[in-house]
Amino acid sequence: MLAFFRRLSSGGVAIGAAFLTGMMVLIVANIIYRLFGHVIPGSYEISTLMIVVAVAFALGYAAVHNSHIVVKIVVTRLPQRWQSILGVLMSLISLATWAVIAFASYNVLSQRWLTEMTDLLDIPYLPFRMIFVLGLAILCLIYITDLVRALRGVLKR
Amino acid sequence: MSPITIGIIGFAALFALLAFGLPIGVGMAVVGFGGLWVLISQGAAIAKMGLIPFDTVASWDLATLPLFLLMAHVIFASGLSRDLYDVAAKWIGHQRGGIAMATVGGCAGFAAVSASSIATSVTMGLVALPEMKRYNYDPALSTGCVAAGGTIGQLIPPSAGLITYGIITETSIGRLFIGGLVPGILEALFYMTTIYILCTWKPGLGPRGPAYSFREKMASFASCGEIVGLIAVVLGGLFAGWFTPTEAGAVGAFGAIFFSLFRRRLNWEKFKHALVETMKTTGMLYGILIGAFIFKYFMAVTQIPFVLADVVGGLPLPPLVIMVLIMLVFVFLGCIMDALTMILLTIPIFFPLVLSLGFDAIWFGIIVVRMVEIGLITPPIGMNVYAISGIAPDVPITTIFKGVVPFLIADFFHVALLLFVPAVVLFLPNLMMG
Repeated sequence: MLAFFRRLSSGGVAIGAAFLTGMMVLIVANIIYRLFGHVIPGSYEISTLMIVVAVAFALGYAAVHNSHIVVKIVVTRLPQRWQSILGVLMSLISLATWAVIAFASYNVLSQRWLTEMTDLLDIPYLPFRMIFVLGLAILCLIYITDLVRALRGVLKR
Repeated sequence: MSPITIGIIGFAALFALLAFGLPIGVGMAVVGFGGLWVLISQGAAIAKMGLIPFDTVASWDLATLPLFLLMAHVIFASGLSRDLYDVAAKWIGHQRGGIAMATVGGCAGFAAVSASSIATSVTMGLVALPEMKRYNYDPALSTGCVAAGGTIGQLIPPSAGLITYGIITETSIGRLFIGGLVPGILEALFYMTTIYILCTWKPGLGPRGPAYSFREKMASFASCGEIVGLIAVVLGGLFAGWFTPTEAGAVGAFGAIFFSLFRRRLNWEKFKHALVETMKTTGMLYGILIGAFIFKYFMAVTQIPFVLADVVGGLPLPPLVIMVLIMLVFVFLGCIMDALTMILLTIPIFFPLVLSLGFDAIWFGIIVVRMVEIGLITPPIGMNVYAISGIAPDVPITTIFKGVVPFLIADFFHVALLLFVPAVVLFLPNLMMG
């Protein structure tokens, strides 16, 4: 299961990285245009939308690689059994928190899907909010596998 | 229950959850969510959980972070960072402790392309530690100087700490970057002086490295001319007002890719690796930032920052004494927390207080980043020390902590200088931006 999510997250991170690179190129192109007295209309708006795609997939990728920062100063001093139980509890809280964020983000998406546009180019926010919710959903799936793994660890003991 | 009591309970719950191993971003988000639920309503709390994360992610200002991260990862992947070290090693490596001083110089150079202290430490550590081992440097000095030298990464722009502080407090990131430049260079000089004193006192700590001819020294500049030019364009353009910090990040990342390709140092595999590492760090940072912005909103609703500003501001103590107390809080937190968490947790509380005491927002930003940097090399968390331990597994961690002690003493004098002579920070931003 984790292997599948790793692949899913790697696919997502490739899309995210492409958008990050695209954003970089767009910003630099706009600066070069500016030297000649022109601007790329809405480059600022497009950039902020592109970073949404990059971050949406980066969140899950960081979770797959356990990159989210944890302070381990107390936990590591506890007996192994307590560490495992706390691991389950913390995975559960992480999952619940990201699930609430995903659910609430979906709520916003469903309420604003027809009305929300960027100021200059009238680009609808809808696809970007959808991608953000998708990224959060992938993150939740990763935390579910984390939780299952942590539970297995406790049961084994 | 009053909002302030709920805020205090929220803080206590957050510390407990973090101590039990909850990821920092999740901890701040869950406490912020719970607090808003109790203080306002369930509906309002859920609404905020839907709005704040997307607004945090779709932020032009925060996009600065992944772009500067990409710049640093490309420079690291292409090996251009080594050239910065080589320049310093060729010019001062023949002095007593010269290779350690060159390492600090390399850290200062890499700091100008990296937004992270740990990245600076690890990058320079990978290059410099084998060199110092080869010349029989004392392991405590060699690892200590790399761990401490890395902290320059957060002061010399670009800096993730300064960007985060600027966004949280709505202070100009450009001014913060300019404000960090002189203190960062001074920090490097303080560290070099420390190494010089140590190696003059005990020459065995840092033997002389090889000497190079003037021609070889000048030639070393040619090897990193592009990177120095890139730093000049990125920082110069930012300081001159040609582009915003986010645009500077894009120019830096683009320039790093361009020059790495030009020097045939970057292939597809290396570029892919740099991108993937950037995405991983970006995910980690935004995970924290989303939680921090939810927590910040909760703190604002509790009114704690403003009440604290009123109460502490009314104490019969000189502002400088209160500032010293705030700094001691940072020293304490630095022992148990990482840099970004400290900034995100404390700034919403302290910032209104500091402004009410009449201190400058730019100056305070530099002080905050300086203090959280010190936390990166103090036990028991000292993340830079652990990072160096990871790349120098043959050196016990206690030896590395012993090695950073002289640099902590230098830090004390450096912080005192910044505290009592604010012009060190403010002179340049005032001169360049009015």
